[in-house]
Amino acid sequence: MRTLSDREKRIVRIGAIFVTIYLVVFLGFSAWKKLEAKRSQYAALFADAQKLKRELQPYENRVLRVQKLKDTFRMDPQKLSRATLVADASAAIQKAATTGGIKLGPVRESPARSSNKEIASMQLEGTGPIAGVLGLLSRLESLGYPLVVDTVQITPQNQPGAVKMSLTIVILDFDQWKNEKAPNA
Amino acid sequence: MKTFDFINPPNIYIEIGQNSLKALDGDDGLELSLEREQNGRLTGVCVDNLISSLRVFLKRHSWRGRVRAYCAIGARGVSLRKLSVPSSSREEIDRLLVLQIEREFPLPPDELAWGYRNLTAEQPRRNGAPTIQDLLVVAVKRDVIAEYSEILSSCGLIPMFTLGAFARSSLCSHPPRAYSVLDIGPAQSELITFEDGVPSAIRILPWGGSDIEKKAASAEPGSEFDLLARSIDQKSVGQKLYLTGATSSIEPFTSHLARTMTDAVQCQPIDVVAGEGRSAAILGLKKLCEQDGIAPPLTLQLPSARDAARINGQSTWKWLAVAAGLLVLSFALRYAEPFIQKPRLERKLAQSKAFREKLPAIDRELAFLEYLQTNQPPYLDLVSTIASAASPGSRIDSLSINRRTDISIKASMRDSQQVAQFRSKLIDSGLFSAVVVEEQTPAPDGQKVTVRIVGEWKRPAPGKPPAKTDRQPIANQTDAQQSKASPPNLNTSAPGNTVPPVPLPSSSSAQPPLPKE
Repeated sequence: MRTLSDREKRIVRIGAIFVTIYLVVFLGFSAWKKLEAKRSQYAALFADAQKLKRELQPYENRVLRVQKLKDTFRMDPQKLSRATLVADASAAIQKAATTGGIKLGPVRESPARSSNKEIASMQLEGTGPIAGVLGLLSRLESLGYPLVVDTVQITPQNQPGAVKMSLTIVILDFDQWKNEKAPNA
Repeated sequence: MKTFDFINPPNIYIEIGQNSLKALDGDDGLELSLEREQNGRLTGVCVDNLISSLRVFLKRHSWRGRVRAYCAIGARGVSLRKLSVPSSSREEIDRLLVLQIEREFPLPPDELAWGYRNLTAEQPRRNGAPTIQDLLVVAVKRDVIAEYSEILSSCGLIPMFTLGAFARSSLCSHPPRAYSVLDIGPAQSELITFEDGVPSAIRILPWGGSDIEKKAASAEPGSEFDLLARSIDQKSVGQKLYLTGATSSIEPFTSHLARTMTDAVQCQPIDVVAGEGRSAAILGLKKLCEQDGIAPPLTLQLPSARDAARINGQSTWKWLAVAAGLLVLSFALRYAEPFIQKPRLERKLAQSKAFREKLPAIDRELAFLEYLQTNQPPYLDLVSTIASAASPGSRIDSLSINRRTDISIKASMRDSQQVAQFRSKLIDSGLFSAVVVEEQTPAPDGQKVTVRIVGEWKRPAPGKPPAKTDRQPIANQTDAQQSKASPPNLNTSAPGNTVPPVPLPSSSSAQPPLPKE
């Protein structure tokens, strides 16, 4: 191959410079536009993330409060099975009563009013020491079921220290909360 | 000192002769004697002494960076040639000159330190035959310059070498077309001849000031001076002969020389300010660089120095490329963030959105659990308060409470005063909003009063502690403990009081919450 003369080399050099300038100007401009578009997309995404962060910030306290209440009631509402809820709750109440030395009498279950978001109500009668009755009242809260004591009736018995109790307990229906529209944040 | 001397430090001027080295740094001067071997090289001891002395001399201004040193060397071993090369670029001239030097000089270019001066005025290129450039090339053995260069570089100087004879000529004021400069040194003299401002010849004369002084002391100094003056060819001297060196001490000789010269030749001594580190060559260099503001017109360069200059040029380009790269990088950083951070941000956003999907469930759970909490009536507090309010001798026959805040008590007490006290205590406890004695019937024997009390219990405000009661906290009592627990006031006594001891409720129910629908 022939060796290039100085003049030819200079022409090639100048040509290369012009081609480079052309590429830088035109390709560079389009590349710059693409980069700017990408940057603006990122800026929008970043703004979305910031907005979402602000939106979620109040929920940090709510999550903590839910956890605390779950710990207090020893219950996870999501894990409650509606089909077996009444049976399980009834068994747990009776077990708790028996543990407290209460001799249970008739136990009646009846469907509760759905308007009050209740699944069933139970009426329990029993006889036992006053300490057992009050202990049962205290333990009902942490049995792991959504129980609300509707009425309490205590009457003394003939035996000293023994009382007859009559409780009406309402079992709440979490499914009716599920169907409710979520409150605004 | 000028304000910006530390940015652009003043030059140092050095003259390296056969027997001495003179240096001038501003107004400070230095003069050192040189010892040479037979081959003309400096002895090792002399080199060490030179380096240490120069370092001490330059240390006074140690805050300066590397300083340029203009060095005037003697004419011994110097070859002067006029060469013609085709007009071309500087790089091309360098290349062509190497070939010319190889042909014209006795040593190959690699063994020479050489420099050139363009004698042809710059002209635009014409079409046709190429323009010829006349160059004055000066060369000296490479070893001579390399040795001096090494010494000066080790003292932190950047040396530039030129001929002392060229430098002296700058002291000649209004020189004629052709003239010569004779520098009379201690042991030898240098004669340089200029034609049209261009050096045409340079000679070393083998006599100096010491020889002249000896001749002056002889019986017939005039004839002795003639012998010395004859070594100068009067025809080639030109129109004027400038004398430099120790002219005052050899004044008889210079006067004789002036007399013996033909009428066409004028003889003029150049007065040089005496002092340490000052000579005609040094002052000439200083005049060229400082007053005229130009570098010496001809500098001698080593082949390696030429390569270094070329490399220096390349390194300049390299720095420019680095600067351009940094500029591009700083511009690119603006756009680098989306590429680097976007995947992470998208991942976090997806996680946050997934969490947001769970928010309604969390809201429902919270509503449910709060409802459950706020709908637990404070039965244990109420029972405890009633037990505390009952006076000795009282008997509660039935107690009924519901979560709709209704309470109903059926009891028998000793008299109506006890009934009133009981009611007052219930109201004072703060747990009851209304207490009504619905019926109060004395027994037929008059010993007892049967009462039926109805009322409403009060839900405490949120965050408010429960009403003060007499009960003590005995939460989580076992049955055995419960059986041993001492009863509150309810049955403090009275025979016939069938209400059993009331155990205190657990602390968890101590703060009944506000109902929430």
